Amino acid sequence: MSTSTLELATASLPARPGAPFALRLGRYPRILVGAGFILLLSLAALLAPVLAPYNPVDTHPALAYRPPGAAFLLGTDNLGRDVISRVIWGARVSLQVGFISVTIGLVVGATLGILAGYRGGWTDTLLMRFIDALLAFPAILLAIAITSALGPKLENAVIAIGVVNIPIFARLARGQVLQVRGAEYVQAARVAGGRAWRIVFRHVVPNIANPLIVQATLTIALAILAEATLSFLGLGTQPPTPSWGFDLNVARGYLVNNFWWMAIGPGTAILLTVMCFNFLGDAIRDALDPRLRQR
Amino acid sequence: MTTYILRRLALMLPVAVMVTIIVFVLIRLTPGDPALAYLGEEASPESVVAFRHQLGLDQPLPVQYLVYLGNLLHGNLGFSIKSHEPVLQAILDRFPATLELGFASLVFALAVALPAGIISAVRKDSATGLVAGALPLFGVSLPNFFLGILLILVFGLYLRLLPPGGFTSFPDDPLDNLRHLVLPAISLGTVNAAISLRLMRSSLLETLAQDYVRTARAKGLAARRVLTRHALRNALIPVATVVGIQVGLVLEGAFVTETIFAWPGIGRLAVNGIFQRDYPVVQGAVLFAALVFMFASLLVDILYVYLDPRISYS
Repeated sequence: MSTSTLELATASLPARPGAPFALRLGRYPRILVGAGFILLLSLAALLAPVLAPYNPVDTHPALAYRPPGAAFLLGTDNLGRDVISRVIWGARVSLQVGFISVTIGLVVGATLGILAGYRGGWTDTLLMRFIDALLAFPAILLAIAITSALGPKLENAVIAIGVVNIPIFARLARGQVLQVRGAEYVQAARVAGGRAWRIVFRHVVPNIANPLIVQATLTIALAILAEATLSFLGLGTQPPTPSWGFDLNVARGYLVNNFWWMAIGPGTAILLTVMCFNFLGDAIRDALDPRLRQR
Repeated sequence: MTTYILRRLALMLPVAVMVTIIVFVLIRLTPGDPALAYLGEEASPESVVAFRHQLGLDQPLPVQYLVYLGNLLHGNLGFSIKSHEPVLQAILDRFPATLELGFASLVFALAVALPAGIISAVRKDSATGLVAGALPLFGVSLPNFFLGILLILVFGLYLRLLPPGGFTSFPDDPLDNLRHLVLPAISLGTVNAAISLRLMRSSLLETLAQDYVRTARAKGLAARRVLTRHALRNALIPVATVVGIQVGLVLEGAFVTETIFAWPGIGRLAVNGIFQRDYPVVQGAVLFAALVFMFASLLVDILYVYLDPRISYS
C-alpha cells in the first residue's frame, strides 16, 4: 500500500474560496477524465442485463471454444458461454467488491484510528500494535489466510479485503486526529463540557473526512485487484457467477489448446478497470501535491 | 547503530506476537475439527480424543494459544493434513526456489526501472520520455496472473522461445534453470519495475532541480557527468528504500506466479494447500511470509543508514 498516497491524501484540494465544486474540479481535467471512465464502467455494470448479448451463466456445450467472430465478439468459453457477456456481468462483482470492501476498511479503520488518536495512552498503543501486526502481512496473503479460514465464497472475500484495508484508514485517521485534537476549536468544545463522542462526531470527523475519502478512491483499485486474485485462486467468487479472476483461472487450463480468447476478455477487463482507478488516484494525488503538478 | 537495531528488534517483538495471535485466531476460525481433518472422517472416537489431547485442543483457548506459541518457538508449524509432512519442513524445502524467483524478479525490476526512469526524467518532454513516464500506470495495473498468461501464450506457446512452465534445479542444469526462470521473473517483477520506475523518475526530477546540480552545470560539467556523478547518487536513495515494500509484493505475487508457471516454491505449496483444503500449510506459509517480510523491512531500514549518511539513528 503506497505510503506516498497515504501522505498525499492528507492534504486537501487547493481551492479558491467560493468557487463551485464542479468549477474547481474543472481545473484538473485528468480527474474528470478518470472519473468519466469510472462512470462509464459503472454504467456498463449497471446496464449489464441490457448490454450483454447473451445470458452469462447458461451453458451450451455445442457452442464451446468458439473463437471471436460476429456471433460471439470475444468467443465462447469451455462451457459455450459468451465471453463478452461474462466480462460485462463480471464488472458488477468487481465494482461491488471494490466499493463494499473499501467501505468496510474505511468505517472500521477510521473508527479504530479515531479511537486511538483521540483517547491516546494504552488504547492507542494496543490498537496501533494490532494495526502494525495487520501491516506486517503482505496484503494479499492476509486476505488469502482470512478467506481460507472463513471458507471460499464471495462474501468472505469481501470481508477479507475489507480487513486488509483497515490499517490504511486506521493509520491515516489516527494521524489526522492527532493534528486536529490539539486544535483550538476542539479544546474549546472540551472546555465547554462537551461529551467525547459528541466532540468526535461534531468537530473531529468533519475535519478529517476529506483525506479519508480521497484515500478510499485510491484503495478501490487495490481492492478490485485483490478480488480478482482471490477469485483466480478459487477463494472469491464461486461459479457460475461471472468473475474476471475466476474466468482467467479457467482460461489458464486451456492455454495449451490455444484458446487464448478465453483469457484476453477477463484479463483486459481487470487491467482497464484497475488502470482507470489508478489513473483517477494519480490525478487526485498530483492535484494535491503542488510539486507533482509542476511536472 | 547497535542501539537502533536492538530497539527495532524490541519493537518487532510485540508485533510478531500479535501476528501469531492473528494466525492462531484464523486457524481456530477454520471450519471443521482439525483432528477429523487430519485423521479422516472414519477415525475412531478414541483416536480423535487422543489426537485432540496431543494437539492441546481440549484446553481453554488461551492455553491453546500458549501451546501454539510454544510449538512455533520450537519450529513446529503443525503438520500437513494431506501429506502429514511437518509444515516447516515443507516450507524450508521450497524456500530456495521462491528465493531464487524473488531475487531474479527484483533484478529484472531494477534492470528495467533504472534506465527507463533515467530516460523518462532526463528526456521528460520527448516521446520516449512520455512513454517511459506512462509505463508505471500500466505496470501497476497489470495483474501478474494475466501478465503470466500473456507471457506463456506469446513466448512459451506461440514463439516457443522459452518453456511455458516447470523447473530445473540450478545444480542439475544451470542453463535450463535460467531458461525456466525468465518468464516467471518478468511476470513477478513487472509491478516492482513499475513502482521503481515511477520513484526513479520523480526522485531524479527532484534532484535535477536542486541547487548543487545547477552549480555543477554552471561549472561547465558535461551533462552526462552531472547526471552520473551528482544527481543519480542521491536520486537512487528513495528507490532503495522501497525494496522492503517490494519484498512484500514479491512474496504475495509468488503465490500466483508460482502456480501459473508450476514453480515449486512456497507460493505454489500454499495455493495447492488452498485447493486441497490443507489449511495448516496455507496458514504456516502465510505466517512464514509475514515473518520474512518483517525481517526484510528491518534489514532495509538498517541498510538505509549506510546508503544515506545524512540519516543517523543514534
